[in-house]
Amino acid sequence: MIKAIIVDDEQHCINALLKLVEPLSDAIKITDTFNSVDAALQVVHEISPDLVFLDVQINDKTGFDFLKELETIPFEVIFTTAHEKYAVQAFKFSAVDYLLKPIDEDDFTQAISKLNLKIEAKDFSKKVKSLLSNVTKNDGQKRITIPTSEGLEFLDVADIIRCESDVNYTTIYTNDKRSLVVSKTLKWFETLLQNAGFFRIHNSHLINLSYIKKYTKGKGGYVTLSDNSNIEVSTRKKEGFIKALEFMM
Amino acid sequence: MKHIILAFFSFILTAVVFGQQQEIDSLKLLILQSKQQDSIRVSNLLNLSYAINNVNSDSALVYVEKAMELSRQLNWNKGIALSNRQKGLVFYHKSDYFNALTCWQNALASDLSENNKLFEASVYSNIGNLYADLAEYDKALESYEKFLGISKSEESPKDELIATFSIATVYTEQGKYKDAINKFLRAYDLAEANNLDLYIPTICNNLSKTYSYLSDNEKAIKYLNIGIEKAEKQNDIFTLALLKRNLAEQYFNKDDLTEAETLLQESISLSQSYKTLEREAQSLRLLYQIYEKQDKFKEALETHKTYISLRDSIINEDTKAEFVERSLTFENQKQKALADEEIKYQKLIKNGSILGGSLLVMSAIFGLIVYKRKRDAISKKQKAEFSATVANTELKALRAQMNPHFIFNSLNSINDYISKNDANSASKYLTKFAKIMRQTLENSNQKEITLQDDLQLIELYMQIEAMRLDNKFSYSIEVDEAIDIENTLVPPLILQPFIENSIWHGISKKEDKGHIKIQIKKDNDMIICIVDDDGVGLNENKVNSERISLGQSITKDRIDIINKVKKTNGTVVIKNKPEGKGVNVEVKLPLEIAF
Repeated sequence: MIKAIIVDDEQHCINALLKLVEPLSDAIKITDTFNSVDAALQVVHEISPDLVFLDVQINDKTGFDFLKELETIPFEVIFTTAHEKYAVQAFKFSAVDYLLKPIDEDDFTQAISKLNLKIEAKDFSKKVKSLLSNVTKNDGQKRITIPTSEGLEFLDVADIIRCESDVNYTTIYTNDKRSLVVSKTLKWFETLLQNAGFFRIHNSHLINLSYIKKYTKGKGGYVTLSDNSNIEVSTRKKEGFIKALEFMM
Repeated sequence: MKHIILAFFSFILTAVVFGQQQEIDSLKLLILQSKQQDSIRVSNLLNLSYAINNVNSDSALVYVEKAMELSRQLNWNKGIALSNRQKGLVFYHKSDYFNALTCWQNALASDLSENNKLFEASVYSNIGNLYADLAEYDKALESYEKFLGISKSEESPKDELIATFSIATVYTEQGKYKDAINKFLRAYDLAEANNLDLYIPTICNNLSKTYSYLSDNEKAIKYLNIGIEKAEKQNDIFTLALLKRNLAEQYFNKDDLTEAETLLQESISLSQSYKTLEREAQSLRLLYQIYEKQDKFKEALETHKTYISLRDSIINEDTKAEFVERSLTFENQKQKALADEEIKYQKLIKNGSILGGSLLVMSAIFGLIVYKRKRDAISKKQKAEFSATVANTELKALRAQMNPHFIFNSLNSINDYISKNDANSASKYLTKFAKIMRQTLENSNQKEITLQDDLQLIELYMQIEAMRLDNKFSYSIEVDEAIDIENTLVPPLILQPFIENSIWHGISKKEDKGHIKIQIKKDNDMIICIVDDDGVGLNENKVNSERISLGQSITKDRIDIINKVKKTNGTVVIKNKPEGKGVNVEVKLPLEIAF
């Protein structure tokens, strides 16, 4: 049984969540609901929940303020938000769960079931730390949280040279000559990093434009990156790629 | 030739030469004494010029100019003509043949009132001499013939003799020895018949020379002897020396060395008295050859020494003249060469500038063409970019029109739920709707999305519509294996209006449950998207009116623009299936691959 609390300033949102939890009452129980960050902060230690449904905008404060006030975070957090794009982007970078309001029933069920699997993850504090720094930064300065087989890995976006696709996995090459295999599609990274100076030059390659050493012309041509890897540019992407390069300069 | 003619003239001039200096002095005195500016003074000036010509041709020229000037002042035509003749002689003496000829031609052109045929004859004679000197024998003969003609008609045997002699000399030069001999004999007869013995020695000399060319030595010796006889009578030492030397040569050739020696000794002593170095040298040379043949080595050596010293002094004079001549020729050639060089250089410059100019023009034209092409390419590119921008803007506008269309249809559905008081279902429906709205908004910023994303959206759409209609229809999505849905791009929600049509106009009006089949196929470089329903089908009469929804017409416009931009032929074909068993919509689009 998961002990959960809800922090949200809008009662109809709390109601909607309660309604969503109803069918899952065997697995999850909402013990308390709070209308403000302060109210929640006062009792959160006493309650010691396993899970907090946390709204992003709570009156004049944010869910991030709530997390900042805590020394340790001994619980999982699922953010709930309607439209805050900056927040959603930060969640994605930090691999933090979130649900978009109005919450779709299927999405909710999926989030809870996923939660069961990793409830033991102890480094959530680290995730939150990275999240809190990511919220205020541009995409290019963000840190990316990568779940690997050994645990969570935190990478500065600026340190990633390129990502290479291998069906449902992606290999990330960094500037300290490491490579990490992540069970996410290249498409996922592409959507995440396309505003951080990355460009998908090929079906299997997403590169950080700031690591380009040389572009050699050809049918599509190829780029030489700072790690001396030569990456082919797809013919169809050549034009867009050259435009992206010009935009950078 | 020159020698022969000179020999002839020298003989004619003998008298003059003899008293040359005295004559000059006396003529000068005459001119000084008579202050009268009349024709006599002109004659005196001309005589002085003639006399002084052999000594100083420059002074001769000055005197003849004076004579000419005076003749003009006196308006005395004959004086001018005589001056011209004398002036020509002066130039001739200076070897200035061109000016000489001009003067003589002026002299001939003078309109002389008196009968002056003999004057003309003398000028023709001069012209003939000039041409003979230039080896222009035909022209020389022409002049001499005129000279001869006049002398005959004027009955001047002396002139006839000179003309005949001159013609004969030219014939000898031309190698026409027989003709030459005939003419010389004619001259000889003229001399005898007219008591002109004075000329006979020279005629004999030339005649014997011509005979010796024909190897007729006897005749040659015969005429030489006649000549010597006459010359001795006339005391013509000058010609006598020449004749004796020539006769010696004849004897030398006949190996009669004693006779030859005697004759030569006589010739040399005659020559010495006359100071004719060349003639003396020729004689000495022959004498040396005779001594050599007679093995008189001592005499031979002495003679040879004398000959050499004499020859050297002659050569010095000759070489001086030759040097002047040579240097003149050289100067001429040099100037000609310089002129040629200049012409060549000018030609080079001309050709060079023509070449350079045409190169410049050509490169300018070439540059212009390149520039124009580049400019055309740029404007073409700009035009293409512009029309692409326009097309994209239009597409964006059309996509934007899709959203409200879709939103209001969905809001109507929610309203329908609420009115049925099914709050739970309404809530469920609303959350699905929120999700689809989110994705639609995201996609509407992009002109193309992956087929995978589009199909997800379509499925979500069909889910909520099925929910709304209480699962009145089922759906299936079939994608050809040849298509990589992650790598294929399609315009977002291109099929949505047709699916909407199938649901609301095909299946909802049907009594039992329906099925919508979405098929994605590949046909070469086209992608075919099919929406197939088993609804009530289209009312044929209304195909073109109300059954064509706003969404459908927008979709058609979108495909038209895509066709224009990508130069493809995407189509939309809507047709009833046979027997009213539903509608089949086929949307054909250019296959776009992301990578």
